[in-house]
Amino acid sequence: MLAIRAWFLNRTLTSKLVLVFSTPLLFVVIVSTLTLLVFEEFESAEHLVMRSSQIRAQAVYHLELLYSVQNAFRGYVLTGDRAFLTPYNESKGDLDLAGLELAMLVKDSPSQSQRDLVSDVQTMTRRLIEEKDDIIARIESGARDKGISYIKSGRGQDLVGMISSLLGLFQSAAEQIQKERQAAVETKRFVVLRVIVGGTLLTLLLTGLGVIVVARSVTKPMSSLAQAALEIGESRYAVFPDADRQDEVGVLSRSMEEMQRRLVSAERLAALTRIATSIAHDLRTPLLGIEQGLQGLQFFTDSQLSGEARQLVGDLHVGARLAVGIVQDILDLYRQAYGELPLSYTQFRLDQVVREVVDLLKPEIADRRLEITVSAPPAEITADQRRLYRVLVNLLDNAVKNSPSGGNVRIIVSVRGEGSARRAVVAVEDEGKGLDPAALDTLFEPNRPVTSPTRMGTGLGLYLCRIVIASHRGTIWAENRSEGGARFVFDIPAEVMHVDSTADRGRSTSVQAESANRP
Amino acid sequence: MTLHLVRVVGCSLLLAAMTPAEAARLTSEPTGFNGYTWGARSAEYPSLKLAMDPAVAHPLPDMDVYENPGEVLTLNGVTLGQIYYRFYKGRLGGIQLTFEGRENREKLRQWIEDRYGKVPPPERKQKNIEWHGANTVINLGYDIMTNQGRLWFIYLLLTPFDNSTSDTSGY
Repeated sequence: MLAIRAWFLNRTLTSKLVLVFSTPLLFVVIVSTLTLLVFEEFESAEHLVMRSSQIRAQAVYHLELLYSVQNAFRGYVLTGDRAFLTPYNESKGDLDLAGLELAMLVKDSPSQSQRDLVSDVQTMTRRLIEEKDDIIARIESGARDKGISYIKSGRGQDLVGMISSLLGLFQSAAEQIQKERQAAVETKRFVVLRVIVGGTLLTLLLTGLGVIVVARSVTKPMSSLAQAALEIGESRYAVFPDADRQDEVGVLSRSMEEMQRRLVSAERLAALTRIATSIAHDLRTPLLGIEQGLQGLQFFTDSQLSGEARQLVGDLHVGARLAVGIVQDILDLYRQAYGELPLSYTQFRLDQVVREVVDLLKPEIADRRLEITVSAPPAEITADQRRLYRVLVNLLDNAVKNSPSGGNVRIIVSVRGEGSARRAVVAVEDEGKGLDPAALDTLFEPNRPVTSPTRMGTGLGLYLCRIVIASHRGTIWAENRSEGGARFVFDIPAEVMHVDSTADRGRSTSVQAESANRP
Repeated sequence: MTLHLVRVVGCSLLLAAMTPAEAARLTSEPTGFNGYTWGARSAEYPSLKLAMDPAVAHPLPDMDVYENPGEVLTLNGVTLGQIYYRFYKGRLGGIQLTFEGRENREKLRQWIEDRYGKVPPPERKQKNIEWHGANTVINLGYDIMTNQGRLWFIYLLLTPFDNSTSDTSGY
C-alpha cells in the first residue's frame, strides 16, 4: 500500500489527474460496452420473441385456413354445390403458402423440435388436402360411395385433430422459448442495473478518494513551501521536506531550495560588495593623496636623487596610480550595478592619453622586453578622459601580459567621419597565443572564468571596459588576428551625443550604460 | 425495456384471442326455415315449383330443387335473391339462399348469431362460416371476387351422401 502511495505521489500532477479521472472514464467504457452487449442481447431476444409471435400467429392462421378448407369441403359434400369448391381451392392454396411461410419462420429457430413440428404439420396438411382432393375427384367422377366411406371413416377428423394438436405443441414450444428468453433478458437487465448502480457508487467513491489524495498531495506540500518561503523572507534557513519527490511539487521544492542557496550566496556577495565598496571609497582619498604626493616627490627629487632612487620613486608613483585606478574601478562597478555610470565629458587629445598609458606601463614593458608601436595621429575627441584612460590601461595591460617576451604590441588610433558622425577607433594588438574561440562570447562578461589572474586581481577589467564603452554609446570587441595574437578594438563617438546637464556639474554628463555589441 | 414487455404481453394476448376454436355450435336447433319444415314433402307446399334452371333443378341423384316464384324474403334488412328448396327423395333436406355484398354477409351473420348462437371472432373472417347442430348445419359463404354470397340451411339426415348420421366432423 505504501509503495502504491509513493508511486502515486511521484507521478506528475497531470498524470495523477489523468489517473483519478480515468477511473470514471474506465467505468463509463465498461458500462457502455456491457450495456451495448446486453442491449444487443435484448434486441436479439426481442427479435426472437417477435419472431415467436409471428410463428404463433402464422400457426393460428394455418389452423384457420385448415378450418376454412374443412368448412368448404363439408359444404360441397353436404350440398353437392360446386360453389363451395372456390373457397375450398383458395383456402387450400393459402394453406400451402401458410405452411411454407411457417417453415421459413422456423428455419433458424433455436428449437429443433419446432422445426420438426412444422415439417410434420406440412406433411399431414398435404396428406389431408390430397385425400380431400381425391374425394372431390371421386365425387366429381360419380363414385360417390368412395366419398361416403371416407367421410364415415372419420379420416379427415383425425388428420385435422392431429394437425391441430401439432400446431398446439408448436405454439407451446414458441411460448416456452418466448418465456425463457424473457426470463434471460430479465436476469441480464437485473445484472446491468446492479453493475450500473454498484459501479457508479464504487466509481464515485474511488474518484472522491483519488481527488482527496491528489488535493492533499498538492495542498499539503504547498503549505510547507509557503512556510518555507516565509522563513526565507525572514532570512531563516528553510527545510524542504518534499524535495525528493518526482512530481511538480518536488521540482518546485528543489527550485526553491536552489533559490535559497543562491539567495544566501547573493546576500553574502552583496555584503562583501558593500564592504569592498566601502573600503574602496575610504581608500580613494588617501591613495589619491599618496599618488599626488609621489608625483610631487618625483618632480622635486628628479634632479637630486640617484638613478636607482629615482627609479624607485617612479615605480612607487606608478603603483599608486594603479591602486587609485583599481579603487576607481571598484567604485565604478558599484555605481554601474545600480544602473548608472555618470560620465564627465571633456575635450582631450586621444593620442596623448594613449601615450600616457604607454608611459604608465613602461616599466612592465621594459621588464618583458616588448616593443610598443603606437600609431596615433593627433585626434581631439569629447569623452570621459579618466575612464577611457582606464579602458586603455586594461587593454594594454592585457596585451603586455599576454605577449611573449620580446614581442611587439601595437596601438592603432584612428578618427573617422565628419562632424557629429566622427568616431574614434582604437585597436590594441598583441602577438600572444590569441583568444579561445569558445570564450569570445563571454569575454566581456563579469562572470567569465579567469584562467590567469591579472595584475588588478579582480578579473573584471574587460567587463569594466565594456561598461565604459557602452556608456559612451560605443562598441567593444575582441578577435584573433590571422597572423597570430589577439586584437581588442573599441569604437566610440568622437563628439558628445547626449549631454544631461543635470547629471553632474559643469560638463559632466550622465549616460545610461548599454550593452556592447561586436560588429 | 418496459415497452418491450408491453409489446410481448400484447402479442401474447392477441395470439390468445386469435386462437381458432371449433366451428360454432347451434344453441337453438332449427326444425326448418321460413315456415318450411325439415322432412316435409314438396306437395305440402303448393306454391313451390320445380326450379326452371336445369343446372339447378337436379344437382344430385334423388334430389329435386324447388323455388317459390315471386317470393321475397328480407332478413335483417337484407333482401335475399334466389331461394331454392332442396328435396331429397321427396323430403325437404336443405334451403339455399343467395345474396350480394360483403355488408349483407355481416348483416346475415348477425341475424344468424342472434338466433342460433355466436361465432367465435376469429372464425368470422373465414370464407365459410359454419354453425353445427345435432342435425342441422348452417353455412354462410361469401366470395369477394364475385361479390356473391350463399346461405345454406342443411338438414343432415336428408343429404345424398350420408343420411345415417348427424356427425359432420368426419368431413
